[in-house]
Amino acid sequence: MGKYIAQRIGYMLITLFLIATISFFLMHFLPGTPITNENKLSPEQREIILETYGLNDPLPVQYVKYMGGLVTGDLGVSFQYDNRGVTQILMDRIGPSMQLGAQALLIGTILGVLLGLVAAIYHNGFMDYTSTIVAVLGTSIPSFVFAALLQYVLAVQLGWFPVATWEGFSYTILPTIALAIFPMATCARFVRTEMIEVLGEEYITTARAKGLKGSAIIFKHGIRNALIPLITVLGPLAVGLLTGTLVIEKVFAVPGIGQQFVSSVTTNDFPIIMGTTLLFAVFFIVMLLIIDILYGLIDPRIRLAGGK
Amino acid sequence: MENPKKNVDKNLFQLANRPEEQGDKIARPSTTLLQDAFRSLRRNVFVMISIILLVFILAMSIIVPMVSDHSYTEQDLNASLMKPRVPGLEKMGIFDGKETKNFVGNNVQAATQKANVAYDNASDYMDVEVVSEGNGSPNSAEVKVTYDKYGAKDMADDYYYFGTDRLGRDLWVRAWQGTRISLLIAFVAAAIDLAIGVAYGGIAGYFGGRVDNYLMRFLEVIVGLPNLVVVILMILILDPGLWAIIIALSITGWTSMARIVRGEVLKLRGQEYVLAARTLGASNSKIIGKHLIPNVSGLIIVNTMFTIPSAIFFEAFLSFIGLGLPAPDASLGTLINDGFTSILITPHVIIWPAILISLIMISFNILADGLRDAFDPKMRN
Amino acid sequence: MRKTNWLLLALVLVLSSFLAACSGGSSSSGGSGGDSGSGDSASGSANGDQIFNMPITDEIPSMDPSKVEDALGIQWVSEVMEGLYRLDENGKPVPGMADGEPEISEDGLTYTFKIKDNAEWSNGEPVTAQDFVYAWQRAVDPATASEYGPYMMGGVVKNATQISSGEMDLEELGVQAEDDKTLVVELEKEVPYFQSMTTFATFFPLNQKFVEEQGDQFGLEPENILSNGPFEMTEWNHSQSMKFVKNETYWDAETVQLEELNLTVVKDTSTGVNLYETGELDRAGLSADFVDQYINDANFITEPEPTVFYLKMNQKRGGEDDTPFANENVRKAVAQAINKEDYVNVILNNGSTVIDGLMPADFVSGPDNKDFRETNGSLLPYDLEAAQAAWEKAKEELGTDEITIEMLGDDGDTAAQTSAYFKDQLEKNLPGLTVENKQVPFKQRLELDNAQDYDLQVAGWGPDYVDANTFMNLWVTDGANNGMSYSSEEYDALIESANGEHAGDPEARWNDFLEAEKLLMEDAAIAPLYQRSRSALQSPKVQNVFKNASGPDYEYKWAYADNAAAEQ
Repeated sequence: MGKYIAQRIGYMLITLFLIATISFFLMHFLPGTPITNENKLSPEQREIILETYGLNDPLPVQYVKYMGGLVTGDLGVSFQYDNRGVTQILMDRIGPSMQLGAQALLIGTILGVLLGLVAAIYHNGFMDYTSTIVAVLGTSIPSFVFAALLQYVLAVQLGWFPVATWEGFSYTILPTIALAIFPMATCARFVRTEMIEVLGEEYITTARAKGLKGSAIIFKHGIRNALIPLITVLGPLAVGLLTGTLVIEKVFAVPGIGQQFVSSVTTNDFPIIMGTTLLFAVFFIVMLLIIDILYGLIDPRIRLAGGK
Repeated sequence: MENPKKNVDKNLFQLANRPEEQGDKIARPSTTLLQDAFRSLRRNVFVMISIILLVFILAMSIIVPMVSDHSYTEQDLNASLMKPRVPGLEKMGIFDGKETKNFVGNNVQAATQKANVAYDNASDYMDVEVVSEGNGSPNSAEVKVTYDKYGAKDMADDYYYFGTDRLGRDLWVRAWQGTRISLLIAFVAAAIDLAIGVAYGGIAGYFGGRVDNYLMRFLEVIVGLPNLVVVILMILILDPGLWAIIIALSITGWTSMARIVRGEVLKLRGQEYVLAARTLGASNSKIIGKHLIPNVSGLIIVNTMFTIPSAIFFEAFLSFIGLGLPAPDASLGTLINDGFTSILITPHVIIWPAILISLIMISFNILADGLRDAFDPKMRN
Repeated sequence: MRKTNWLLLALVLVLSSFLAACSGGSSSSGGSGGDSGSGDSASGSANGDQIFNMPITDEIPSMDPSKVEDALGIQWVSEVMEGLYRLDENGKPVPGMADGEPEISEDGLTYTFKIKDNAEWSNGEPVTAQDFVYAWQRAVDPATASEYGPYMMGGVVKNATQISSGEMDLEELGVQAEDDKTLVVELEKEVPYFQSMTTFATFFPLNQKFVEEQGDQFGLEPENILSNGPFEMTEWNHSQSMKFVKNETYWDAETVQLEELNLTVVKDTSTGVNLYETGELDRAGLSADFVDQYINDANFITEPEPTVFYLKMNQKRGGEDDTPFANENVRKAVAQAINKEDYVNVILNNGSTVIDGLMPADFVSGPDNKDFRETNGSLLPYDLEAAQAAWEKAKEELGTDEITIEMLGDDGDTAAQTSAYFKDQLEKNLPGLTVENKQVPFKQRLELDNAQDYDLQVAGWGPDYVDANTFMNLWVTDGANNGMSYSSEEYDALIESANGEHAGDPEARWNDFLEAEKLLMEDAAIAPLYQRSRSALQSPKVQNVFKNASGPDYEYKWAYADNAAAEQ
């Protein structure tokens, strides 16, 4: 297993290198400069500003410089915020997004798994339909609609929670709830599907035949096997939460990375876009690795087949 | 020892007269997988309702924009933000196009005066109901005013079933036109995802080893590029619009399907029946096509049904950051987005596209569940 | 509405299950910044806690006065720092760091400013004439890569243009410290509005020692900023919140009543309104939909601004190939075919007003004390008949019945509705015209504008200093902002004479500008649309915040909190 992981980390670095290269060149196809007031400058002044940002160097030179910086963790300087290092900006912004994402993923998964299990165990019963409806609504209604309603009803009308901004734990509750709906619904649907399937497998029948209690079957045999596909969904969900908090961050005025990314896109702040791209990529690839390792741990058949 | 059987009269028995070749005959008529699935689907009431609903929505989205009096881009600022009004229902006091709002003031007169200002002094069309008389202190009096905007605007013969937006566009037509565009985006994107994802994931999972490794490394590079970056690039290369969105969605969208199929195939290919098939000399393509894909079909269908809403949502997300369909085109995403800023003030703008999107989602989900149950013999009760 | 209720019910069910799971979370009380019970003190004066809690629409990009280049940065740099002059309630420059009025030479080219003796930095050092020399040199130094430095000083302060393009040394800049407290400025040419320019951030002084100590960290954090203005920045949680407190070392600290200014970054309009409703903010900007809702509210305010919006009609795509707009009649047709009245009343709905010329109303008035807009009146109004007549002529001249143009819009609040409306109006009123909308982010629009890669776009301009020239010189041939290949010798001559031979003659200069605007509208170079207003909800406790015509949007130096008014 150790060798396998080492090998995977090696691949990971190659992947990252490729992503960095591709996105670097993609970025440089897009028009974008550090200049805010394009229409107030003469062409000579524009040239001087581009020069100071090193944007007049030939592309390969810029590329080598960028990759050199990357190795030392230096992602360059933002166009939008003068002199501010991209690395520092990303470090500042990732915190709130991570916290919201982690909380939402935790709550969403726990509730989703519970909902899915209940639905599967009482397949075609009242609980099944109820949880299916909840899950379907959760995936069907855009999160910003939830966010707007939550904010209006629970914060403005009832005053139970702070309306917005980011000043402490109580401020994270509403955005977490709004954000948790989607992973909850997704988990519920997947767990239900898998659990129904698993409960139809022969080994469950065998376990039943051995006289095991219903709860023991579900916990000892059912859940473990139903969780495997869930892990494949959790990875993308986690990344999606991290990157997809944009709308929630906007509604609840959270200083997170999603908002930063969009504001950088609209201002063509390529150093930040590049930096965020790489950060997301690292996060995603690490998630994939973790999933694969977990896969092996949970389902012995996979290790036999794919791991070596 | 005497055999008791000997006492039985042989004449009581008769040869069944069953020819040798009928020995293997199955009592029930043989059905293909599809027929079988369809039969089980037909028994499921919810699935049938969903199918009917989807067909209805699809039909409406094609027909309404074609036959309606107003086109989906037609504007009339005079009819800005009209409330929904439906013939027949209006007599029952709902969907009558009237708006109700409370006004406060120091006394009833002041509050009514505020209403007059708000509604251009169209007092003939205002129905004032006093909520509280007030005692002269600030904002103690409250009146409830019901305003007949259709009457006041001299449009008593007009009916906007879903109301209008700020530009006075008929939301009934826009909602169906938007549904049409959203479904188009979703179907095309889902179809592309399905084709690429299943093939890619199937191959990676089935062959495993080095092939899997290379394919997965390539996939990681693709997923590592955030959609948004790709979309922005697409929008710059192509013109911003429908196809840029579909292509951008497809370029990165198939990866999750590929990963799910790969994971499942990886699990299944170690199972005995695959081994049996291999031993019997089945070719790779036959094993993938006949044994593995049908067995992961449940997951594929569920995942496709997730692709559809996520395609629709991604389009909405793009609208949110200003990269969606250009005005005045309509999609459910742009409609929801238009209404979102005023969700608490003019909810009628957002509620219909939101309901439509939810109905489409719910129907797809139920249909997906039903299909999966139908394909999978284990799920039958 | 049964379905709605059903959805809501389901939603509440889901929520309640979540709430059960999240119990134990603290709830916070809504109110903040409340006063300490001075309810019965007279209104109209400062009372209670002198604190404002204001929204800010985004992170401040920079607090470095030489590099600051956007509205937010200019706003807050101008509160923590001060130039020679500061704009007062009436938009007139009043002495800031300068002691009294400058001494101006006969030819109007040399200004001598005295610096106040009690002007000091927040670290106790005095503000000297050398601080100005250093700051101005830094602003035009190519190494600084400032945008506003060369833009504001070029052609104004002697040799600024040459220095900013690297042709001359910094020392050649026409600004000298005669002694610690005497600053002598030499101008390139006579600039009647120079005094008003010195209120702008680029002209603020900088303490050389401090700035060099900070290196490239200058202006990035509160501790990297030295204050000489009414307020000091004490907290800066990036993209989240900022805190400004009264600067006790400010020379006019006794005038400053406000103790604390808290800013919260809020990008979403309805979030801002919700924070206002719960008392956490003292102000909330309103979009069109919210104006409908709050127009009767006692705290609803509308603030007109001297910012104008117009359609730019590009005559040469990429600066080379003629577009349909090279034809004057096409321009005239498009400029008169949009019902602007309906547009501002229904779509913008924020108090913005129709404008039929380039110069905004209530911005500058002439020697006769008459407003520019009033004098020139309505030059290019909505006129369907004239538009269609011009359109028919244009089609004849171009020999075609079908014309297709591309319209650029950006991604602001009402951008989508605006593009949809203009497309509809133009296509409906000018048969044979097809408008293709293209929506891009704001920054990208500027770049397409710069490359002249568009046919038609909605653009706007706000003044950089209080003088007609800030608007009128936009369209000179090959001007940096022109970006649409408009070129008129007559117009160029008028602008040149206004800034040259007539610079010392207010009346002739004024007439030059009036003529230039008329010419611009006769040529239908641009299609004027509207003058912007902002609508907001503002707590009655916010008093004496002045709206500026140029530089920072608001002036807080004289502001105070009247908590008693808010209690009523």
